[in-house]
Formats: sequence, C-alpha cells, structure tokens
Amino acid sequence: MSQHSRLISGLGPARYTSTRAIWAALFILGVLFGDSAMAADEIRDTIEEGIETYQRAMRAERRDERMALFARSEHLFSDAIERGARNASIETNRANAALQTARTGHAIWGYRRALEIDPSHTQARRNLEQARTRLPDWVSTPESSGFADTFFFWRQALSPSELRLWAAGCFALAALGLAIALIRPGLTGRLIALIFSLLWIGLLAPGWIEQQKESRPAGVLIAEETIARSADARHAPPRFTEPLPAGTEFLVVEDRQAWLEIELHNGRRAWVPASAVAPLNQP
Amino acid sequence: MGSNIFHHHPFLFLLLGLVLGSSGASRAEGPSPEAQLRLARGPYYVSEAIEVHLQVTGLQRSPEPSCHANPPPGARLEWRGTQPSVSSSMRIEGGQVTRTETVTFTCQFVLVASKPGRLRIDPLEMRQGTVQVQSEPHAIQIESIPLDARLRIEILPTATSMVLGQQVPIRIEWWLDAKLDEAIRRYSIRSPLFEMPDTFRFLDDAIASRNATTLQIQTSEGEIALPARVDTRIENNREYLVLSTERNMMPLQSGQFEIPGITVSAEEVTRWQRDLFGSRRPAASRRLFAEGEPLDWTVNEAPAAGQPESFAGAIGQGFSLEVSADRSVVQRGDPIELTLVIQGQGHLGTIGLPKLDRAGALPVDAFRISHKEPTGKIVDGAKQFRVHVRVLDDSVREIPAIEYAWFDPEKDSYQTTRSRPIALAVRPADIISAADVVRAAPPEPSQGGPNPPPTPATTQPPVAPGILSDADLSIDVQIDRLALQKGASANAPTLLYGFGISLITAAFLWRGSAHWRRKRNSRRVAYRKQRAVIESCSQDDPQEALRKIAAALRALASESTTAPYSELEPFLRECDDILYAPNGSAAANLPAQIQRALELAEAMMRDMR
Repeated sequence: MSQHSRLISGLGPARYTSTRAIWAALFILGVLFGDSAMAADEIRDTIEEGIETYQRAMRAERRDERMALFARSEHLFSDAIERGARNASIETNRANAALQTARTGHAIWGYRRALEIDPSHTQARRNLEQARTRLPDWVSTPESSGFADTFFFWRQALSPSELRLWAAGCFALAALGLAIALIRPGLTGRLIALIFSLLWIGLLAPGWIEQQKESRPAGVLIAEETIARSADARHAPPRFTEPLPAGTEFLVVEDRQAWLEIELHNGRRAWVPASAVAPLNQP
Repeated sequence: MGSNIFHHHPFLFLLLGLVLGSSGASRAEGPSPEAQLRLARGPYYVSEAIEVHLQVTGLQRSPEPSCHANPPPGARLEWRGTQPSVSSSMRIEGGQVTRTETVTFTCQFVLVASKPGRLRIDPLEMRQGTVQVQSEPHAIQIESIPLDARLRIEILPTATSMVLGQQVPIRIEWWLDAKLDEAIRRYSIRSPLFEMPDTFRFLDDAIASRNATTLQIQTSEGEIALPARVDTRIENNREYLVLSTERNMMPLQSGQFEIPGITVSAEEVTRWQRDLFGSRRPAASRRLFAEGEPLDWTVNEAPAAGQPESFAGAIGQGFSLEVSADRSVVQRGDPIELTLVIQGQGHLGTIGLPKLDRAGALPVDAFRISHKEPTGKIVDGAKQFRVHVRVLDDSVREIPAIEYAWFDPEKDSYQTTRSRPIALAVRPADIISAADVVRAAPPEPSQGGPNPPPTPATTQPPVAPGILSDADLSIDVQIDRLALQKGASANAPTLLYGFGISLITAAFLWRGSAHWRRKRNSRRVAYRKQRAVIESCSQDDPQEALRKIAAALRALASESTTAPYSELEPFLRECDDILYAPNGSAAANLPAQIQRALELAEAMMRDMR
C-alpha cells in the first residue's frame, strides 16, 4: 500500500507538469488561432465598409462628395491589403477607387499589382490600358506581350501562385514515376517520370527565362509631377523637358535610399526622388 | 331631404358622428398655441430702439420656430433672436398625478421709427413646421424729440463719389455742449449706413483699448465701441466737446445712394439726488436728440475704357509690385518660384494677380507658368503671391519687368507700375524633347480575355482626363474572394516538392540496399547449406566427417569478415592433426567435434547478421 502511495506520489508532479504543458500549449494555440481569426474578421469588416463606401460614392450626385467617398473607399481597401488581404480582386477594387478620384498613378500601380498576382485578371488588364491612355503620348509603357507570353500561352491563363502549384504537382508526380522506375524497373514508371518532368519544366521555364531577361524590380511614379534628374541631387539638371507625370512605369536600376535610378520602357534612364515612387512589391 | 338621407342610411349618420368626434378628440389632445405681443413700456421716440417681443406658448420643444415680420412704413424692424423657455408643473388630483409641460418661444425684434406719428405694427408670425401663429396687429404712438442745438452729429464726407472696391475712410463726429459733459446719462447713435452690409462693408474696425474713450454705435451686428478722440472746439461762442472716430468701408454695389442722416438720442439728467449711501442718483431727466445731414453718395465702377490688361481689381493709390525669385541660376526646364508682393493704399483683400502669360509680363515662348491661380495672402500689410514658372529658352537672361495696374479714384485714371527685372542665368540641360521619346509599340490583342480592350494607337490623341468610357469601374463585392490572404495555399507547392524529393530519396535508398540484401541472402543460404553438411557428418566415417566439417567451416569463414579466428583456427588445426596423423593414430571424438563445429558456424552467422 505504502509502495503504491509512493508510486502515486512520485508520479504526481510529473503528471501535473505534463498537464500544465498541454494546457499551456493549447492556450498558446488558442491565442494564435484566435488572433488570426480576429484579424481575418477585421479584414472582412474593412472590405465590407470599403465596398459600401464605393457604392455610396457611385450614387452620390455632388462631385466633391463623390470624390471624398471614392478616396475613403481607396483608403479602406488599402487598409485591408496592409492587414494581409492579398489577391487581384482587392487590388483592382483599390485601383478602381483611385481611378475614380483621378489618381492615375495610384490606379496604374494598383492594376499592375493585381496583374502581378493574377495575369489573367481581365478587368485589371483592361482598366490598366484605359488608365494608360490618360498619360501623355510621349510617356512610354511596358510591352504587354513578349515571346514568352506568346509561346507559353498558359502563363496568361494561370496566376503565378497557380502556376507554382501546378508545377509542384507535376514535380511530385514525376518523382513518383522515378521512384516506381527505381524500385520496379519498367517502362510505366519511366514514362510517368518523363511526361511529368517535361510538364514541370514547361511550366517553370518561361518564368525562369523571363527572370533571366529582366530581374529588376518595377515601379510606378505616384507623385503628380516628378522632375527626372540626370543625377541623384535636387539641383542636378533635369533629364527631360517635361516632368514625368503620375503613372509613368519604370524599372529600378539602382536604389540609393532617397533617390532611385530608373529606366523608362524606352530605355531612357533618370534619377527620381524615392518619395515619388511606388514599387510594385510595396503593400 | 337631409333627414331622409340619414333615415335611409343610418351608417352615414354614424360616420359623420365619428368624424366630428375624432376631430374634437384631436383638438382636445393639447392646448392650441397662443401668441402674445409684448412691447417695452412707452413713451416711444423717433430713432430710439423699441423692444418688441412675440411670445408664443404651446409649441413643441423642437424644431426651433422661425420668426417673420413686415417692417411698418417709416420704421425698421429687425429680428435679434429667438429665446426658448420650458416650464413643468405637476398636479395631484384624486390620487392621480398629472404632469404638464409648457414650451414658450419668444421672438425678439427691435423697432426703430424714423418719423413721429401713429405706427401700426402688422401681425408678427411664428412658424414651427406646419403650425403658424400670429399676433394681433398693434399700433403705437411715436413721439418726436425736438432737435437740441447743444448736440450735433455728422458722418463725413456727406457728399462724395467713390469707386466700387475702393477703401473709403469715413469719420463720425459727435458734438456735445461742454456743459453737458457730466449730464449725459446714456446715448444711442444709429445710422442706416451701418445697417446695409450688402451694400457697404466695413473693414476691420479698430479695437478700443481698456480705459480708452470710446464712441458706441449701433450696427446690424449689435453695438460696437470704437476708439474715439476728444477735442474741444468753440463755435458760435459755445464750447463743444467733439468725440470723433473713423471707420473704413468699401462699397459693394454701384449706384446713387441717399442715406438718411445719422442720429443720436441721449438722456440728460436735469436734477440729481443723494441716496442713503450718499451717492448721486438722477432724479429727473429729459431727452435730447440730434440728426446729421443725409448722405448723398455715388458709387461708380472702375471705367472699362482704357483698362490695362494688368489691372486685377486694385483701387487706391501708390501701389507697387516687387518680384523676387528663389534662384537666379537655373537649368532649362527647372521650376523657379516667383514671389510677387503688392503694396499700396487700398483694400488688399480683394485684389488679385493679373495673368502673367501676356505682353508686359512673362513671354509665353520663354516661360511656362503654372496654371494654378494663386490666391495670395496678406503678410505685413502687403499681399503676397507665389507662382511657379519654368524657363523654356536657353537665351533667356532675365525675368522681365512685370506690369501691374490699379485705378486711382483721386486722379480718376489707371496707373501702372513695373517690377524690377531679375537677372537670370539659364544653362542648357541634358534634355530630350518629347519628340525624341518614342512610345512603346501598341500591345498585341489579348490572348485570353473575352473582350480585348481597345488599344490606343500611337498617333491617337490622349483621352481627356475624366473620360474613361471603356474602363470597367465596377468592383468585386465577393468578400470571401477579396479577403483571401497569402496563407496555406502558398505552402502547398513546398509540401509537394518535399513529398517528391522524399519519394526519390526513398527509392534510391531502396535501390542502394538491394546488393547488400542479395549478399546477406547468399550468406544465409551458404550457412544453411554448410550447417546441413556438418549435421550430416555424424553418420560418416570419422576421417571423412572431420574433412567435411573442416571444409564447411572454411567455406563459412571465407564468407565472413568477422569470423572468430581465435577459436576457429585451433579447432581447424585440431581437425588437421587428426586427419593427417601418421598411420591414423589420432583418435577423434566425433559428436563433440560436430557440436563444436555447429557452435562456431552459429557464431560466424551471428557476426554476419
């Protein structure tokens, strides 16, 4: 009896410790999941308010009221994006609100971001083309289709995340075929491995080729007018006769904190203040 | 006929009764609002303010009612405010508590009669929603106060001509017999001029400092106290104290204006008495009254004929324009901020900046001016405008003199001044022109979209801002889709790649272990075979048996890398000694030898595992 008591008393603290650990783990998990669920709810509320504000703006009759509501709607969509919403639809919504308030720079930036997430987003592509027509004729815009896009047509049909998922699936199936071929040598495994390897390469190669061709980050000018300079100094000579308008698209050649050297899509290079620029990878 | 109808249709009678009953019930819901007109106690005098109140009881708490009144002929009637008041009362009757709330609104008016006689006040009206309440008409007698030679009041100048927008100083002088200095108890100075804010605007009245002498005048915005100066003047052998003050005004409408004279009504104490505390108090008083000359003013617009292009509404004298630039050495195309400062004797608040892209200012082929119209601000008595210009021509050597014109009412003509030119050094920039910049080729038609967007041609003029006929500005309202975050789906490719790599690794490991497994199997087969050979030796001739046992153990030892040679070697030597003993003299204990050989074989197999 006493031996049993000793055993029980000896096991007790260890059992309680493990129970505490389990409860602590459950608590931490609960806090983490609860926090993320709360954040998701906040995002949904913000988006809902943004949609409602946009719809009110569409109904508003006075111009100043309409402008104020569109601006508010853009702000709400931005807020949701900053909180973690990441998809082409919300980027397009935000860009639409910006276009309604005649903020061409922010609109073009938003549509470009939407197309980065989903190149097949028809509305973003169409509105981007429309927003570009608001720019002066001499402002160069990127070529919308290249060799890779024409030859590898599926790049237009799939978003990059879908493309990555499909490629990973093909890789897994090719690996399965290879494993079969290694364990039980025969034609079936080899054929499976070959077909899915080719598909995997086909899905990833265009992106890789594109990346080899152009790896510089892209951006859009959002300041109403930006004087492009020939050097990274405020009093450096202007590079062009006209200031660059909001919505001018470019590639970043060099980043020196306060100044960026950019390359326009006609190959011309200039320096612009970093404050006038919105890179596409910025939330 | 009627009785017949009700006789044949008794329900009509019932219906009529219900209608009448319900209307009676609705009237009985609350007392109907009652209006009462209240006037200050008389007598009433010309040019003196008379308080007129319209008091209505029985309205709702909200909304606030509005007051309406028509001024009687020969008088001004001005609304000054509406005052609400709520009173509650509680009554207990037969154990039942009844609470009653009474809401009263009072519209406050001020009536000023300009001539003596009987004055009829038309009904005053108060409106709250659909409820309208009117007072009864009322008549009062206005007494005249004889003009007193000991008082005089004037607005100067009495006759003048001015220009629309001109800043005109006026002077108010109140002459008062020096003997009345201590006898004036209170006074009221009024002029219709001060109550025409849409026609004559008074600008920035001076604020009287504490303890300074002031002159209080009645205006449309209430009573104001202006700092006054006191002089002593003698006229017709009478000594006067003259209180004078100045106001600046600006005419807002052109035309001929005949404005009744300014008036002052005062109360002169004729007899004093001492109260219980020895202080002096008025015991008797009489009214004094004075009226100034009517004003005959003409307001003209600045003449359109000969108006310079650089005229921007400045009226007055001695205007000047100073221009400064934030830099004097620029690259072509650089923005230059010009600060234009206008000073002069005139009202600066309404003057603007003339267009700068004109002759006499900045040539359009050399300068480009920001199209934003600067509003300007008044700083230290001058109006400042800031304008951004860009130099378009390398040959520009100065910001030329800029012309600025104003209308001088004294000279009745436009005057012009010019700023001083500013030397400028313009250096050519590393510039490409718009013509050098080639737009990218128009995009190919979209491969995937059902409605490919129209692509602007290179030569197509830009669409005017605001026109987005082909843009689809509808928004996605699917909240589930919009709230999608970068999360689990982003990890799926990683998991799939991990799975694939694991599969390949496992397959390679499996394949790599096949040779080793074959070797192990062959060893097992050999062990079983040699063990069977050793076990079968018990029936054989001892010599033959020992040879087979030694051969079997040697075969097993050749397969094993870790054979127990320390035990195996002595045993094999022992077997050899018996086998190769001369004349077969050595004797063998075969069962023991077999048992030992099996143990050695077992040990070697264990090592192989």
